[in-house]
Amino acid sequence: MRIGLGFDTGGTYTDAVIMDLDETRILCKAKSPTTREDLCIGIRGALAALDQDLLKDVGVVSLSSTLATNSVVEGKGARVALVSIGYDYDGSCPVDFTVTVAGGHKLRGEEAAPLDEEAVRRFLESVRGRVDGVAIAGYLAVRNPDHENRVRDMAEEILGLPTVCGHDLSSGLGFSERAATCVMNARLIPVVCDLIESVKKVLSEHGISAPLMMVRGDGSMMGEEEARHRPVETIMSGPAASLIGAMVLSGKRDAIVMDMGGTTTDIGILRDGKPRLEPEGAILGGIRTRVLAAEISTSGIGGDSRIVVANGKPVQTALRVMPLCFAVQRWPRIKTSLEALSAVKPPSSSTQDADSVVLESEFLRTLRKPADTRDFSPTDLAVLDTLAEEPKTIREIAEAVGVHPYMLNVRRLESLGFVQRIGFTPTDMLHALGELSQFDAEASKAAADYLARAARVPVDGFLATCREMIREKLCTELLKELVSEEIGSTAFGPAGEDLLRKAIAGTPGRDYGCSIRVGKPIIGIGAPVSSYIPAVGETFGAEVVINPDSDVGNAIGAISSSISESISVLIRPAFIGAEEGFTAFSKLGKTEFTTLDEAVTASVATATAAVTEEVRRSGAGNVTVTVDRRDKEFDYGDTGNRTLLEVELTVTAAGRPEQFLAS
Amino acid sequence: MEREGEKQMAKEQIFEDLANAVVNRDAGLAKNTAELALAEGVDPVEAINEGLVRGMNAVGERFAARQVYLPQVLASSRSLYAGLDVLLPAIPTDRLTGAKKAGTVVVEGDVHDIGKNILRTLLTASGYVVTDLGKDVPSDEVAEKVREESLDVLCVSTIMSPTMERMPEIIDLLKENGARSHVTVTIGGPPTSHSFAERIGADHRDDNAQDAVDWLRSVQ
Repeated sequence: MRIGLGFDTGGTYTDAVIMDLDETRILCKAKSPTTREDLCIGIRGALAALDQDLLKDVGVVSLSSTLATNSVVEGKGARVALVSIGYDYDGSCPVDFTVTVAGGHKLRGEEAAPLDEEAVRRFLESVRGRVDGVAIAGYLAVRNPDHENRVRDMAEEILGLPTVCGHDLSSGLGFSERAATCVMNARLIPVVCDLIESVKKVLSEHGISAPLMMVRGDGSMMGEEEARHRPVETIMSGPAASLIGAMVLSGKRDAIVMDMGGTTTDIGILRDGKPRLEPEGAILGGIRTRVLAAEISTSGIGGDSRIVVANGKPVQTALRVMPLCFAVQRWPRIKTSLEALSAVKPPSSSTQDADSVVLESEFLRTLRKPADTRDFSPTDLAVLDTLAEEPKTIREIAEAVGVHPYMLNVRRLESLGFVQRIGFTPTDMLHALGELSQFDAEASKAAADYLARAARVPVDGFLATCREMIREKLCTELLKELVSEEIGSTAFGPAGEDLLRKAIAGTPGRDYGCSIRVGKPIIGIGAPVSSYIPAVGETFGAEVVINPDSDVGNAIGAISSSISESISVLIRPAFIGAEEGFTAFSKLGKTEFTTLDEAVTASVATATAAVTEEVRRSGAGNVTVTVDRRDKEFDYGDTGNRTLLEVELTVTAAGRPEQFLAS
Repeated sequence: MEREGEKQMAKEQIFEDLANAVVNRDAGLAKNTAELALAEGVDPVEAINEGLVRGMNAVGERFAARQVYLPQVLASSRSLYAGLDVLLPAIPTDRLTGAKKAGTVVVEGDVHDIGKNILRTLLTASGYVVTDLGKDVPSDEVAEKVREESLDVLCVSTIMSPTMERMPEIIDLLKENGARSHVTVTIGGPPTSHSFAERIGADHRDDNAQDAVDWLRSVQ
């Protein structure tokens, strides 16, 4: 029996799972809170909660992590020097030192200008001791990597630092996007190396010496050495692992995956067993990269979304709050206040919007205080002081600091992260309905009763409206995503909006109704999905798959994927319509051939050897190679003659990790 | 009150003369009427839209319906430009800021620019600020120009099949320099086809100049 250990260090929880990889069976699972400053705390916690006997038999470990994504967004990481060859970098991903030197290539791989090696040498000498890594990007290096390779050899010789070239990370056009990807990669190298080191240390404490894999943003895994060299490929690995986990748990290779978390619902698509990828490359922290990663659409519907009553109706806002049922376990006083609400008349909220409505069922608490108090009014500071003692309602705060409730501006303190709101959420709704019993349902019921009176409806009607509101939101998000995937736009127009509304509400208009069918199964991932997704499936006549182990879906995905490497080759005729003379471009270099068949056969052979070698080095066994060939042809004018423009080959080697049992 | 009415009549007459000058291919009349318009205090933008453009649109429609042929269209466009040369400089610059920027070009190795010139005229008539990159222009120059000038639209044309090659080249270079995501690219010319446009990653294949303008209007 081959046994694997999968981890996912998410924003809130670190999940771990031990799986029988032959039978695709979950043997043991665990969860532990994530500490963002030190991911090993969560990993250690999850490890301790697993069956210790099984750990001895673990033959491979795989990790998906938000670390790279977070580091990029927060601008953390190493100091980087960028050498731009033959073109100016647009600076989209900030870099510590940069130079543009003469060189670069043309579209067909000819040298545009000789590489100015002297300028490269001067620059590299000048950054000695001031950087931790070097990024290299050449103009049209995807058509000829020669200049990038020469600069890399010089950088390794002169500085001896981790060095990476744009053509190693992407074969797509886009000089500045490749340069940004390369800079990001160089920044991440020490960050991910540290993670690998500390994870290995934690594993060794449990006697595990199995090889460590990292999940990539496209859902495949790579070996430790590859991850140290190309850490940027681990961005978006969490969502990608979630999609793979969904596939493993459902057995469906083509499906829509809806992953509901505390803050958001993420929608991804599985196509033929692989996550749908962002075709132009992932965007991270507003920067377009050329990293092929799962394309996920995110919307602000989560278990911790805020529900209020405004203008007499329940409204869900994008704000994340702490659920009441959870908060009362920590602050029993909140429960007392909530229970006392039965004697309180709710405000008539007819004129207030959802953001400014003041409700007795919402509390605030101080998370932290500003180090520099200059930007804050005396009232702000008094609010922070009083909320540091215990959570209070807006009215109580106003009393404590001596201002009128409507004069208080706690929203700014909230958006700056100094104050957290506690209030009614979808999680409370499920507790009040009796569908969840994880936390204190009485608190949720008391708040629901108060809010129902604010909306002037019976409490069961209020809860039903809340549930319907969430169903409608989820349905709308799903359809918008599918339409956008199909036509590249979500501009529905008034007629489209009307059809959408009728299809989701299920109620016809005066003379017609509309129903929309989703042709793929919907897989629900995340704790609350069984309460919401079946209704979404019913709306669109789609099969819904929910597995009880989906709470550790990411960790399952992490250990279930394959080690895989790809090389793209572009073959173009010497001129359009040429019978002889073909050039193949790839990261391995540029090669000339006489016939197309020769070009294809030789390119497949070279690329196969290279990718097979790479996955073997990552520890893959039973390697299989697939070749995807796309011939791009067109018709001349109206003659109807098919003519070849180019051939795109993608050669992929994939294999499951070999087992290395600790003796 | 009566004076207002007279003024309005005079304005209508100026618009009519401008339109007719274009339709009847009378460059002299176009220039003189444009000068008269400015002297009478007519808004230059209104004079362009209600006069010259209306005339050029009529010519475009007749061309598409094969009621007039290329030489007539070219002569009309000369009249249009004779009027525009007078009126365009009179528009306060802040009025132009909202206008989309379009570029027209014939690829390297090809000097056949009649279609391109008609398109340039129709685009101008449709309210685009047009930069004419010219004919026989190297692909890398085209790509850099699009990036430098932040063009919203690039219209590329060729009449011969050997020079079609330059079209995918221009698009690849626009991807490499980062401008492709901001610019709409349309291609035209007898050897091109819808499948060619799709394969090389252009946004549209124009059947003729009027088709290009109609399509751009529908998407922008």
